Amino acid sequence: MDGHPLHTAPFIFPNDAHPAWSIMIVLYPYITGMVAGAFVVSSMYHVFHREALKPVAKLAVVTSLCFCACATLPLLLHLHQPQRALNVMVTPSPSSAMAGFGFIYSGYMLLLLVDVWLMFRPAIVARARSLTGRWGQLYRVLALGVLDISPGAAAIDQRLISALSVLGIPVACVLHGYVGFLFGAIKANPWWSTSLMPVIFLSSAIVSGIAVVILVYLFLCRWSGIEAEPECMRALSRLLWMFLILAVAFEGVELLHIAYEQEAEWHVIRELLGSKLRFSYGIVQILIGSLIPLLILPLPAFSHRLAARCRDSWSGVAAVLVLFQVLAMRWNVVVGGQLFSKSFRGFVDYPLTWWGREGLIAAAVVLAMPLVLLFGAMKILPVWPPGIDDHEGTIQ
Amino acid sequence: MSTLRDSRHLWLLAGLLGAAALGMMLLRTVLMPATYGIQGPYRAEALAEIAAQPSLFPADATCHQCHEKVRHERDGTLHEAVRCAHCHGLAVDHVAKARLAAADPSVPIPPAAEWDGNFLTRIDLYLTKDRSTCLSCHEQVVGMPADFKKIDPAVHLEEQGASEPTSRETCFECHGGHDTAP
Ligand code: HEC
Ligand code: HEC
Ligand code: HEC
Ligand code: HEC
Repeated sequence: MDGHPLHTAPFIFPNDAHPAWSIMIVLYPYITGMVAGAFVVSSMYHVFHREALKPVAKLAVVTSLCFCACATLPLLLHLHQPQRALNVMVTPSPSSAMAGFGFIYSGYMLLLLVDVWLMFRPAIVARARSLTGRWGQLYRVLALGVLDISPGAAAIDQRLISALSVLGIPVACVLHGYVGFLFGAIKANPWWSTSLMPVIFLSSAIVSGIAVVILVYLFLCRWSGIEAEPECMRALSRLLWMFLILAVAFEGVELLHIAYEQEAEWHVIRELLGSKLRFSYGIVQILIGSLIPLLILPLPAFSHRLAARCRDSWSGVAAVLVLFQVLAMRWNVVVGGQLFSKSFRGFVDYPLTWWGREGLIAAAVVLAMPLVLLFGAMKILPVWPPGIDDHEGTIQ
Repeated sequence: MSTLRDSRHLWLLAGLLGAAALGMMLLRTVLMPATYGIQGPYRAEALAEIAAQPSLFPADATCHQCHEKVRHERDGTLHEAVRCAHCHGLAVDHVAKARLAAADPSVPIPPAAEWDGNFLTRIDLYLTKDRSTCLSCHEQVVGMPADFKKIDPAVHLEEQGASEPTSRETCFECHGGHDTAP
């Protein structure tokens, strides 16, 4: 490529010689998105009364909480001085977008905690009364020492859960829309700077959250040898399909917009998509992650004739592909946006490493953490199997 | 009364959260640096602290201490504001060695290296007559200020009648490194 104007030095500004936002910053919106997405699934049941989703409603909230608890993990790994992380909230700058995120994130985490606590209070109380020793103590602390649930209290809790589920929807949108805003508001970078960014991030967040819930649900069903509820799987597949259409449409419109306007930056973005991001954008995000799931999802979503095993496999495969789509999309935005010089005259490289705080192995560990937490949560709370009627206070 | 009893777990929770919020606010007063916020969202003290740090990269004034001749060559030219580092590297090591040599003449001063063509080079001190050094600032690209002295190299070399327009050193046929006026 020697001699091509985009490939001859000097074009690099000192501040864009190295992509500073690493794979950890790719994971950050990825994980945060699953928080928002999984929550939406449970709201579909709690707020919009989609009865079909009942088997996954609680599972989805707890999944959301587990992902939320890990959402800042990649950020901490990315920081060179993680012990200063809280400074962003101790001494917040009014003009800092990241400070805003700190508060929104904390608020959302609190909402999820209270929501989960209320949902599982009957079980907590029942265990606090029946268990002795360390475990009994743990549940008594979790129950805040209140060891009985009158019908009146249960009714209050029920109303509060509904209220929190309603409140949770806008807050989830704000949480993830805000992550999109962090990128969309960077005017120096034409690949990021668009007011559509929050919407794009939000829709793909919901997509990834639904996909995670599908996979966790399928896994748990297989694990405990029960059959996934056909109606539930159909409803989840339908939701996934619908939000995937939205997400892909927004992403497509955004690209079309840049391409059609052909502003000064287009030539570099075109080069970027055609070279550095050819695989992660063209192949993974568009072909494997969007087109194929869009084509196969209607099968499990609408067909009533499909055998259960077959339907679950289609949904599962689509969910996996969609998770790759969203991961690729985060990568293409976060890393892709740093691969071209702000002079628009050339490219830099992002060397991905295996080891180190921001290497691939650390990234895999971070991605596994929410699932480990989920496993732990299932030990403490009767998240699974579904159908335990904990309002009776009985736990099998 | 019974509503109060039925919701006492919620009051407890509210109390806990309130206590946590209060604790957080107290903690904040402890963690907040004394001079934070006086001039903006940062520690005002930090300015003085940073200013007191020894500078890592020598300024042109440092070079001038020993390179009187170059200083005179550039005095009053438009290039006076262009830092030595642009064309010779950061010269951190060079200054340290030269200072040692000034005290003890037996200490050798390593000669300047050849530039490797990289604008982010790690070479401490180099000499170069490479057109790309000049063109990194002067080549006409989209968006440059109208009154900045910029050239389209091909046109400029053609117009001025450069004898070796493809050579790397071509600019120095007519321009100096220090007093660049043609
Ligand atoms: C303490 C005195 C001192 C300071 C300060 C100093 N130099 Fe030098 N420099 C010397 C001496 C002595 C030489 C070698 C004698 C010569 O060739 O003039 C030299 C040589 C050079 C050379 C030519 C090297 C060669 O191989 O021909 C360059 C270029 C140079 N200095 C650049 C700088 C720059 C840029 C700075 C400021 C960052 C600087 N110097 C600061 C003393 C100094
Ligand atoms: C615009 C580019 C440029 C800047 C800025 C510049 N120089 Fe030079 N300098 C040159 C070139 C070109 C040469 C000649 C190199 C050669 O002969 O290979 C040179 C040569 C030198 C030499 C060795 C020959 C001589 O003339 O003594 C010294 C010493 C030197 N420069 C010091 C400095 C110092 C000190 C500064 C800052 C005050 C400075 N230069 C700023 C381009 C520059
Ligand atoms: C760091 C940027 C920079 C570099 C590198 C640089 N220049 Fe300049 N040059 C300037 C600036 C700034 C001016 C003043 C322009 C103005 O005021 O319009 C200037 C002015 C000039 C002028 C007009 C001088 C006059 O008196 O009319 C010439 C000729 C020139 N430079 C040639 C060169 C050459 C040859 C080189 C390479 C050895 C070079 N420049 C490297 C920034 C640079
Ligand atoms: C054959 C001689 C020659 C060569 C080679 C040459 N220049 Fe020039 N350059 C001139 C002359 C003469 C002027 C003054 C022209 C004028 O004022 O119209 C000039 C003017 C300039 C100016 C100021 C333009 C302005 O708008 O006032 C710059 C910048 C410049 N040259 C940079 C370069 C660079 C960079 C190179 C190498 C790629 C180069 N020159 C090669 C002769 C030359």
